[in-house]
Amino acid sequence: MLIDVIEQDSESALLQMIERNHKQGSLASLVHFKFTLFGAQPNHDQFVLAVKECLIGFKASVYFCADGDVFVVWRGTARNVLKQLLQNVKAAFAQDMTIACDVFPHHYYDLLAHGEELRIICKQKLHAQPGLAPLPPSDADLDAAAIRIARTGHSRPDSGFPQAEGHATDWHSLGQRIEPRLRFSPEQIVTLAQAVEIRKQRKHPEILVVEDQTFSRLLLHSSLREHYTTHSTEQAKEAIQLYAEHAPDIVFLDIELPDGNGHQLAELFKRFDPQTFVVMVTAYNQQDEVMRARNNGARAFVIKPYNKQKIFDCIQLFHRNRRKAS
Amino acid sequence: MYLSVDLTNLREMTGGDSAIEQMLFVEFCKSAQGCVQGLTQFCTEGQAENWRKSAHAFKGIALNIGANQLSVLCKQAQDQHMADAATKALMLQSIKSEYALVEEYLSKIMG
Repeated sequence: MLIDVIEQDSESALLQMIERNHKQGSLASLVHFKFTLFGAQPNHDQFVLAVKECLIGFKASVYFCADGDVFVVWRGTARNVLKQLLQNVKAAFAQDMTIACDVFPHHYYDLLAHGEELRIICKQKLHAQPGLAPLPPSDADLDAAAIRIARTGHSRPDSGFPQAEGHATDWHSLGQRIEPRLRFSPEQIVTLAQAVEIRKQRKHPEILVVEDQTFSRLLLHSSLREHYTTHSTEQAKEAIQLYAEHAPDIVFLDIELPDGNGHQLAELFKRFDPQTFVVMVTAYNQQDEVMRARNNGARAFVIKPYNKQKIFDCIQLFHRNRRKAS
Repeated sequence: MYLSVDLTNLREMTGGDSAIEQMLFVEFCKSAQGCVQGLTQFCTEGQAENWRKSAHAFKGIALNIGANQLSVLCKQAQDQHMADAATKALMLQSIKSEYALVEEYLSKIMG
């Protein structure tokens, strides 16, 4: 058994250390965790101790950053490690504490984000030992893990660290198809939960318009502003912030956005807020786009040009659904 | 007489508020000029995706203002994003000509 716990004050120093330590070794997986603790706050030492305990019995190296980031390097599959580690983290903290464990376990994505040099080293290692390359978890697994908020108080399980499953991964093509991940921060999750409660008391729907072209955004906004409180933005990230703040009843969502795409946003909103009512708006008129929108939880689809009838049909549909639900 | 813009939808959306219409026309022209600039910049080999995005954005605003012929030209440009630079240059020329008509029409309305 090997536990190698190293603490560093800055993320860059920490990553340099990871790079140094694993240059000669067989780096197979690197997971970047960020733990945010709500309620009773332990100090950093207590936190480090708790995470160390979570990893007892695991053959892994752990790197702590003073700001709460934790990097774990191990040989094995990401999926099993995440599951086990999250169980242990839940078990390790006191009952009166809520933990949002935001996980960034997509090896290639994280490595790309943290520096070219590290990425190259990892790619070489992984290609040199394709049999040991870890199988990345699915997006659904990652997002489920990312939002897991646990109240704990159970004993820590004693199971050991999972072994490599021998799946080879095409890291190059994986890197090519990874889109920027859009997510709620732990703080936004809390804000959204409050906003959803406020929404239940609201009599008039609030609407969020997400559309990258200023002209089209203003046009839609101008037709809605008379009857509804309307928020609007052109950016996916700002849309996430506005959604967390207001929990809008209806979202008019364009597909092509400068910093993401509407399908990703629709999926995110649906996952965190099942009551969301997303209307995809686009100049596309393609069956696959409609199907993708539906699969991601969109309730309606408006093909440009906008007109009042199309927009108010969607709002009527929203009201009908709400009446049925109540 | 050929009308480059049909404002019926837009007027219905704005409820006939002329101040909002003026603002929307100004925003349309700004967005359109950005799209023309994008198409001009990406009218070369190896910029197919950027060209497609610019044409797609232009098509969206053209549809929304009611510039139907302009939206048809933008759709062609979007669909033919893999075309060679010479073909793209021809498409761009058609788009610019049609946009000039649209702009002229809107200028007259704005006074």
